[in-house]
Amino acid sequence: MSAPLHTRRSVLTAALRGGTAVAGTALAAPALARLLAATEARAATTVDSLAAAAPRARFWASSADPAVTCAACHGATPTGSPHAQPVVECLLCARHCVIADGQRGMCGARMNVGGELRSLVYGRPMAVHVDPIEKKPFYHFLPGSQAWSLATSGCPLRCSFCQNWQISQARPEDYDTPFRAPKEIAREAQARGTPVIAFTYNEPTVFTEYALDIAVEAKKRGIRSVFVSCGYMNEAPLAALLEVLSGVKIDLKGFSPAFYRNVVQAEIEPVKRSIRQVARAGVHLEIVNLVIPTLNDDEASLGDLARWVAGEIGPDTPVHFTRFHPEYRLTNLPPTPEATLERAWAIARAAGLNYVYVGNVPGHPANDTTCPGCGATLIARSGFFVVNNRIRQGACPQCGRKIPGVWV
Amino acid sequence: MPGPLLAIGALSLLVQVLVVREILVTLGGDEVGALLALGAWLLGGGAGAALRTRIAPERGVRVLLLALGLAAPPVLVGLRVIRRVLAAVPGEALPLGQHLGIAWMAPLLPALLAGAAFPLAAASARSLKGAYAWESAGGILGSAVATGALVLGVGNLSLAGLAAVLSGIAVHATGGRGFRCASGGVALAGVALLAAGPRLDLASARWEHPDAVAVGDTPTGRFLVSRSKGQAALFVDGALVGESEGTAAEEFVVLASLLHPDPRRVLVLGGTLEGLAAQVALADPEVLDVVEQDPTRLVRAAPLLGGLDGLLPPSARLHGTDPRRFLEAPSGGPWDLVLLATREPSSVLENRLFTREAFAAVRDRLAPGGVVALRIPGAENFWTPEQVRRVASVVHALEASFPSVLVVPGPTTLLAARSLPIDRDPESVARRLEERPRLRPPRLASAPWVRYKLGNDRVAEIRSRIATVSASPDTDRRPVAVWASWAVALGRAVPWIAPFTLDPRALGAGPFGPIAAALGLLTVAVAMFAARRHARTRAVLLATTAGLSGMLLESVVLIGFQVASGVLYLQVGLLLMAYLAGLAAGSAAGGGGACRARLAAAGIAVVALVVALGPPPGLGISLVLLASAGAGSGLLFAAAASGPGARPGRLYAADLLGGAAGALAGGLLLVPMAGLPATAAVAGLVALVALAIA
Repeated sequence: MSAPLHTRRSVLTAALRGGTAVAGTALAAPALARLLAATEARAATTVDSLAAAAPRARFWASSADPAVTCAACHGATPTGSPHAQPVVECLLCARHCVIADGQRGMCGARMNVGGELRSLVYGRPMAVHVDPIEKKPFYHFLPGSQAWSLATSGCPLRCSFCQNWQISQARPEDYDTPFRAPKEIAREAQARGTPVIAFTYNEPTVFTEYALDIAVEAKKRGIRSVFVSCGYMNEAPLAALLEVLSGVKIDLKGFSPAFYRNVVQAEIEPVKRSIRQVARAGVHLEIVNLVIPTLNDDEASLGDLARWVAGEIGPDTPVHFTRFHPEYRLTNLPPTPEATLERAWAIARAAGLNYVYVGNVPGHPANDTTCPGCGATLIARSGFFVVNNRIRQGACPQCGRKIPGVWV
Repeated sequence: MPGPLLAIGALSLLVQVLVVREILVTLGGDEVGALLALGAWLLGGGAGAALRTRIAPERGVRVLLLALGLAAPPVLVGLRVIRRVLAAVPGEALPLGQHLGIAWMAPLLPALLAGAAFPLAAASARSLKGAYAWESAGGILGSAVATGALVLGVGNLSLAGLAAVLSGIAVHATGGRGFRCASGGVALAGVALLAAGPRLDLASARWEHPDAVAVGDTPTGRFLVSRSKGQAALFVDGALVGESEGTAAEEFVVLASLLHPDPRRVLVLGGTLEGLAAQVALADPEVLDVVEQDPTRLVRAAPLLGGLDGLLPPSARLHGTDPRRFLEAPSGGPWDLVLLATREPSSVLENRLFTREAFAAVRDRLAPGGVVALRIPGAENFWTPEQVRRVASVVHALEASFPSVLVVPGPTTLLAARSLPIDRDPESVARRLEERPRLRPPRLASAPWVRYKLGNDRVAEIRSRIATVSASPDTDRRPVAVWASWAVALGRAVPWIAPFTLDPRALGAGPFGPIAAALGLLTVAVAMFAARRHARTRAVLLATTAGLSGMLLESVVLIGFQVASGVLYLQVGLLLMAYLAGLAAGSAAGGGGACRARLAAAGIAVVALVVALGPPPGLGISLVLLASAGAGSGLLFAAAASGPGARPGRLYAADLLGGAAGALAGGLLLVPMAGLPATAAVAGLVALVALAIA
């Protein structure tokens, strides 16, 4: 063992220096606290203040509700003791999140506050823009019109290719989003002269209550509302929405349960159910399938999808096969080859679908609307923009065949 | 007997380069992951050196050398197959935990072997400082081999085979009878791998890219071309760079060209394989200059991506050099339009074309009224604060040279700047599109598209957010856009963590300085107290400061040189060798006594001062600075090693751990947040600590 080298003087000196440093650190502690507070400056709105101001949500059940029996959730012979704290089950989307007091569902947008489910995103749009309706894409819904488009934060899905991950994966408290009443949104859309309000970018199901109220206000002003959705909602909220919506676009992201589980972290059946429900309700419906190389581009899967739409929903349902672009966490796959999209188009046409589009490929002829009766080009498009619209009174000017859609 | 020490130095550096290079590809070109891997290597080496083994030194060294030679191939194969093992979705980024786990775990085994070998070999050396000197000299050899291989485009698996051959030869040359067979076997296996490397490279690339048709290593990274259904895609270091059916080139070139009234002389810096030069040629310019940093990749990959003639029109003049050097050279130009084929300032090297200095160089080469345009990732519908801060830092850098800057937001955001007022009017720009003759009708660009790009509400919104966000201009010496890029990436992987990635400017103005100073003082006081109590502790602390200050300075000088000169592996190899030579010379010349230790520490502090205050160095000055820093570090280590109670394993471990801390703190935090001068200043402060405890 080496001999100690310290002396009384060196120990005292070091102690003095150490003490000074400790004192300095102690003095700086409040500053550190301020620093941490500043770090969270982006979280300008605290969860507590959001929750306090948030309105009561719809579409949920609570264990505190006398009308809700144990058997309703736990089966006929429930075991264990009753919940110490009231839990709620969110009935908005197919996840059916069971949420403890003070917690939120997977979407992050709905919170159990003392046994009451509240919508933290009601009146808190974080992105509002004006887009061509073709960008949604809606090709059979007021072609060439502009859509007042808005989104709040949150999403029940976890798609690794999400092109709006900044919005969908954000939490309501992440950004300072001032309250905008439904009337205000409808008034802004009217002032801007947009004939459509689109609930889009994130999954609008998470702000169903807000969307419902906006759509009602918009309707009063003659403005239509459309939903750009993943279709993961339950039947009751969708039924309520279909009362006020004029169009729904649903992303059928693939046609295999495995794809949905691995890449989307969800199940496919609720999406198919929603598509059927929209079709049954007679609300204008368009379906989009983002074709991702190696993940959902096999011909069998594309064929199954096309046959299912043609058989169960109807051959006049517009179906878009869109080109994947690397985004979010799926950045190292090349975009979809055009040949794959063209093959998907051919498969869908062969399955009997009349309106099949190739999307995200500017200049592609399958971006145009053609008459299934005579083959005439009815709407010519360049990207998101309508170059020429020949549809007259919802029909082909050449052969008079009625073209499904919302045209005026 | 210096042979084993030389071999350890050479092999450990060679295997380190191999593993870090492979990790970069596995992690999709993530430079942060590569930096972490480098830190993990040093930590693993330190842990290995600290291990106590009962094995006889001579036998142990031979076993470890053979094991080190054999370690690289399984690690490389493991890295190529890891995504399959983890059942990763093809093309998807791994979860952050797995991502970091790979960066940390992959280097550990070879690093442990290399670290454990040194104290065993040093046991038979005449002195610890001498052993350190020979090991550093071996590092020079390893660096030379790695650099040569990079320049020649030798693939990783072939290079791993070469490492096995070298380990077999080294053991054979020094070994007893029992090792002749083993060393011969290892060398033969290495020869087989060396020969089969290219075929195995393509076969293993198909594990992740089933449609891969070519893969190769060039001086700037690994490229891979895949072909499927008529579409070709190019990946560099695992990251998708471009493909043959997209409209990205059209979007960039057409929009940028429309911002100039009549761009007849055009300079394109990079992007030939993406189709930029071909797109420019459609407008039939009078002059088309194209600069490609890696002509080797261009020549090898172009035939698979549509042919060199299609991508590089005959009228274009190709310059195979670094874009920054081309801009800063006195000849050429002026140009009406300069297109920078930038991707993302996600590393200090990528950042070289986003900085104030780069834009000043462009300004000097533009004709009056000329336009410069570049791209940076943004978002379609909502930008996070980190994304705004990143673009703002680049916009502020542009504003230093150009009074008029335009931001056209989108997933790929266009930045354009001009000395004269830039035309922002959607109608007038759209009119230009309709008036200009084109050799081929555009797929994407139409008058409504131009009106939408320049006139949609996002343009004003982003302009307003950029104007109000706190962001310093991005510069060579303070690359804040790199830090913002890492914050963006972190926010994408773990959304809740993004708010904790602070704005460096807020840090400078906030309480971080006093807090850091207080913590620093506390650390110094504790270190001094501990050092004065025990000579052994003092030796360990001196070795740690030697590694820490040396690695910090090495990082600053290397990054500074690369920022000024581009990725020139030959020269970077020379610089590394200069540092190692200084290290070897310093440790050989060093010795005991507080006086020498203080001299060494003072020397490091002086070098740090010169680096902090001086301009970005050229090759000659960089060589001198690195050799001096290495010599100072070596002298300090030798002083530590010559003290009473010095143990080779412990001191070597301390040196490597200090180096790991220097690499991680310097590369991940200090350089991107505080800049190069501040990082050099920190190295100087560490040297002053060494001065105080010596």
